[in-house]
Amino acid sequence: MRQPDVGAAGGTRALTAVFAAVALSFLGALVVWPLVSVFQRSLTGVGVERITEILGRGSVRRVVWFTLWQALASAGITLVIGLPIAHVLARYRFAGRDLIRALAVVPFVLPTVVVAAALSATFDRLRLDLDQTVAAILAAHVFFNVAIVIRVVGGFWGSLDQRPTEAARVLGASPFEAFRTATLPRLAPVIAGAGVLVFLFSFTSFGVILILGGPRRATIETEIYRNAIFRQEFDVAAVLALLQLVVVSLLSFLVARFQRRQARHARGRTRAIAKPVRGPMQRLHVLAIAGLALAVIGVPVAALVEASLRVGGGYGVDHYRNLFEPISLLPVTAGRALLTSLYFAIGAAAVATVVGVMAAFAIVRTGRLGHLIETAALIPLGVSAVTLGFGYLLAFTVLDLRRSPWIIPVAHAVVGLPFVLAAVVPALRAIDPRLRQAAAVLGASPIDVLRLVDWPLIRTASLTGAGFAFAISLGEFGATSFLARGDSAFTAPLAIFRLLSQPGDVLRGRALALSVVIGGIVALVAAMLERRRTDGAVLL
Amino acid sequence: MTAEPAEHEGRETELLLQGVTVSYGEKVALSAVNLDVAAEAVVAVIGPSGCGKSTMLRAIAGLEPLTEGEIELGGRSLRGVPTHQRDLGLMFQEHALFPHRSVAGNVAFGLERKGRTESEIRERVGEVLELVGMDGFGSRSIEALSGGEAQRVALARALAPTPRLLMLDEPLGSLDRVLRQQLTGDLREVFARTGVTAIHVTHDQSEAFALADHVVILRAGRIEQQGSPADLWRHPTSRFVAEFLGHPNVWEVDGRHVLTPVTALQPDPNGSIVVRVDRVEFQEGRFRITGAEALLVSERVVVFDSDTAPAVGDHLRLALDKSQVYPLAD
Repeated sequence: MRQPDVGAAGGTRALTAVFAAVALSFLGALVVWPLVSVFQRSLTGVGVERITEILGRGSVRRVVWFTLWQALASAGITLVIGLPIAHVLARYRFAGRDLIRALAVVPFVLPTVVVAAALSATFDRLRLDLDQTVAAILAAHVFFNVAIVIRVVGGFWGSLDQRPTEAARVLGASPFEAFRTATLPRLAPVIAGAGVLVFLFSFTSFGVILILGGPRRATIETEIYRNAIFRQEFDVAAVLALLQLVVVSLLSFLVARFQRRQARHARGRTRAIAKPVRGPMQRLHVLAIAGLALAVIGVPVAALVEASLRVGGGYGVDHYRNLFEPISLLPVTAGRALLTSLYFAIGAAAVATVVGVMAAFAIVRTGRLGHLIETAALIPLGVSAVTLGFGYLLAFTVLDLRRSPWIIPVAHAVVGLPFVLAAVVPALRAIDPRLRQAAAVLGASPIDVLRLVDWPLIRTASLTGAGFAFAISLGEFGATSFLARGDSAFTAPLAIFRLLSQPGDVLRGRALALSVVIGGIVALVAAMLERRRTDGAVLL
Repeated sequence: MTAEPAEHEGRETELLLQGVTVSYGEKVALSAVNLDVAAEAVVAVIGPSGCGKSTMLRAIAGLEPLTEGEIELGGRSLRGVPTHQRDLGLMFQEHALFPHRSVAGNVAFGLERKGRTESEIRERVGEVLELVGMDGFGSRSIEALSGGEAQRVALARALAPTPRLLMLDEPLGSLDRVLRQQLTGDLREVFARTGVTAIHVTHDQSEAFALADHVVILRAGRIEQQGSPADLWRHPTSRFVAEFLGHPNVWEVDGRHVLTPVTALQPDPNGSIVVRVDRVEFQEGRFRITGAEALLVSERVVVFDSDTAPAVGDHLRLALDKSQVYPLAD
């Protein structure tokens, strides 16, 4: 029987109640209310008749169709490229395997505007005229998401029990037959789950489409933005946001289902051992796939860095130096925008961590209430930042909160909160309740228990969550583009977007240099978190 | 029912439980328990798993709210006193040491809460670690300790702030037999040297008998019987107690249960009981024989001692000293 946590100590319950209240008010005001505003605006404000009229428009239908097929194509191509890489990384031991594995995380943690800048620089370098094409969008999505396939599928594949496959071989199956009959059925849910995840991310992709697709390419996401910000067509934006919410909920449900099925297969599995490479055929295979991985991941990163250093015919750091030069296109210098981003990121990380730790306590210590808090906190993970930003626009215009620059780090904290919870909740659950009881019996008050037992044991996890929240805030573009007003709220991703949208090599150079700085900081934070081998990485 | 006084020998009552009841909705974990523990006494609480013995400790610690009843410690009611102000020591089955603190840091925890100065803490930590045979381990990390060492540190941690009452919840349950016997001896010595009042919960009756002055047997949330170890062994009042303590010959006679002590049966050619020998073991200089006596339609197990070893399958006659046969309640 599970014993209830420090039962008679009323002080502990009072503390938990305070934590739950803080978490609930935060999530209620910043997640539930904005989304309810979107629902309200689209359902009651627009009306069913107008909804069908808007959805029936040819332009809207084309947008929905394009959103769907580009996401499907992105998921398909990402799987085709990612699966062979996942297989080689899981099954073979070779020099450079750890390097490729570490490198594979980089694109996924990079901010979308940086990814767009990197792909743009790559096409430039390769003299491919892909500007404003679907191919550019797909390439960016593949670059961005291949890490998911490599990590999710590769991680599972690497630890898959080999014995059923070996049994099939002994029973007379060829290597391919053994793979088809014994390995693939167990891998299938994981592959499908990764595919749906890539589809979801491509479906809600925003910055990449805005920058690489140009003004003519429109997805549901970019149309919510354009209708709300430029055309003042709030009805259309609301209907599209509603559609977005429905599709995203459906897909999240699918992901959860696949994860459950995967968990079933994971039961009782043993650690398989990666084999060394044997024979020329295997060597060729591994070499080709490792080359593919390096090309897909490494080339855009290298092209971005190289292009940011290119000045006229030679190389130099002029673009970096220029970051602090004022230009008429931006309200502040690029350097100032970078500082603003750093301040916001620190603020967002602080808010996300404080609220996240409190929410984690409430989640672990209360039953149904905790479940409610957890669900509300995870919503921003599925719902796109643009929908959330639109919700803020609708909800906070009433209170005129949208003008406050504070709303941006707070919105970033909402987006980072699921990552804080992913790190802190398991750490908190892992604490033996008897440690708290032992401390209480030894004379520790409920606050002492928090300070002397719980906090030391979740400190590392909290720092990990803070790191994730910081990195996410630094690159956040979707919600920010809805909320940013005034010079003091102009962040680095907004600057990159504006600089890249204009022709001209000087502006471009500045955008690339800023991208390298932002990307570098984020990659550094990610590398530090990766070294700690944290639970937060589960979300990736 | 009034609380039976424990072996007080003129000492004052330290812990008093009156009608203590703990229930979770319908399920009653502890039902109207009365207990009187004298200062410096060592009381063992035994019973099968799920009998409520751990709940009793948790109720005393304030970790489990009372549904009814009253607990007094040192003459003061514990009603409304939160766990951390009860002045107790509690030792868990699996040490529950703080993984983020060193051995000395763990032992110092309770002293720090009492606001002792640094030098006082250092001195007391050294003293208690020496008491449990762990001197020199202060700077070790918890992960580096073996199971037995961790339990010694847990004992030191519980004893360091000199609690009014030390509670031990199956402290040796997770250790192997040899280690358990060794630590039982050490616990005995620590109890004697510190003069601490202690409640020791265990499911192992031999451990309880070896350590305690007073033994309480719990059954389904109620106290079935309590008394000194010798008293309990000689005069179990119920079939449950007799069997739980390990008496072999609990027989049903005319629909009632009786206990026939092993000493009441002697091999005797003129005896009235005929048994078939099923098993012969050598124990403490004598042979312990397990046999079967044929009844009208069934057999019953008869255990007795003998100076000579019969062969398995032999039939033996036994004389029964009826004065030793003892009626039991069900």
